[in-house]
Amino acid sequence: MSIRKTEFISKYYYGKEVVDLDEFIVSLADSCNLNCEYCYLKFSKTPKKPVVYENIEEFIKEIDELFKNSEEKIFYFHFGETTDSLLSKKHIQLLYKFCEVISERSKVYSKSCFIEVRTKTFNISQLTKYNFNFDNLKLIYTTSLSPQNIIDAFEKKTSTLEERISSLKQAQSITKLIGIRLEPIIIYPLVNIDYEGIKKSVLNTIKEYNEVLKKVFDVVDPKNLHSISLSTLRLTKKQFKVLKEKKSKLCFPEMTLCIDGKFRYSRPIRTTIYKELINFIKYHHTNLLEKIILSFEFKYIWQDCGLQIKTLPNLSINVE
Amino acid sequence: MNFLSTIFNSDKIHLTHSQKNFIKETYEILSIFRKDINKIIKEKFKSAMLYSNNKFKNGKIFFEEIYKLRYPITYKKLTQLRKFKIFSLEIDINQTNIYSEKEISEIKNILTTL
Ligand code: SF4
Repeated sequence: MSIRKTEFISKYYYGKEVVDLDEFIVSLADSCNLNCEYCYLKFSKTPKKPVVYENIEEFIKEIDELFKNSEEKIFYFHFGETTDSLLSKKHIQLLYKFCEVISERSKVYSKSCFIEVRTKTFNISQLTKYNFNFDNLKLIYTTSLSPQNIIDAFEKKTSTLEERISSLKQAQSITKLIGIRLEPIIIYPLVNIDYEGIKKSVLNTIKEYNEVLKKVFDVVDPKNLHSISLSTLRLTKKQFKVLKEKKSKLCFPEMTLCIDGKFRYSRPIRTTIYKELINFIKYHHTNLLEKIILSFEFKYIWQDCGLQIKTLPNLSINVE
Repeated sequence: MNFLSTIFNSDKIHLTHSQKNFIKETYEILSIFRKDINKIIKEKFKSAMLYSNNKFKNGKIFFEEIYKLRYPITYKKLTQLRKFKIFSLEIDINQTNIYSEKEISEIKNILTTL
């Protein structure tokens, strides 16, 4: 049994001047062996192999502290930041135990909690073995989606796009809340390095991601969509350096260092991608506009895209 | 990368340390996507030398060409924004109060389209 020595719950810090989505990270496990090329976990102080922590009594103390000391009524807990939420049976078992605890403590403190599980696996069948109908707690099944060519290039060990879409279909039997994460949106392949080549690559990328969204709309009832988040690729300085040495195609030429110390595609590229995807979503389901958020973006980018700033708890207020 | 040392050591051109680093990094990144990138950079160097005998001027022209090669979209946008004295794309234009509404809408259009 592994013991977590640091806190289980932490308020997520997005970075300097980045819009805060107001979520708490719960680290019931660390590390991930799916090995996505862009994953920041390889660059942070996490164990090499996946570890799950079972000292749940510490978690209970922390959750009590948190609920006792805050006036907020709605809490958004993200279980997929330090690992893939559904990486193994053990992860899922623990997730269930943690949910039991959160539900029980929420009743005591009259809180309402939302649990985001985020995955790139096709382990949904393991999840369906549990009953996640808890009081004061709602599960949000979210999956990160990418076109298959991106999965083949940068997420080799993860499930296929078809599997992820199929998991969304199945997830609606467990929960009526689905989250779509187009994160990270990657421009690939790069047609050419000149202006026209980059423009063409961006437009191709938009087309590919629109196709992904179309597949989502084919299987997910829009009423069940809790949120759709969009976020283009970001790389820390260290990641950028290492990936450049490895000659990774993630090292796109038009990436600039932003104020939070991360490399991102230049602003006209990001904004174009976001605006086009937002238009596509709006065209298919106008009322989904209010469920779109930008992850790890600056206020002025939200404004560029005509989006009202909202947080994840905000998005959960009217959820029944 | 020997050809870059040849360029950097040429007495026809002056480049600062950080400009050299940028050029080196640009070469490394673009070589991931284009096998013939050294040929392209060599050509840029040759044509930069055609303008004058002044090594500082040559350095400036060459560096700008490399910047344009690495950031074609950003370069285009910064050129368009020069008249507004804006030198970065990552700015919150709503935080400034020196531009008219018409100018703001022009700036926003430049910043948010390809
Ligand atoms: S699935 Fe998520 S946590 Fe795992 S390697 Fe990929 S990005 Fe990292």
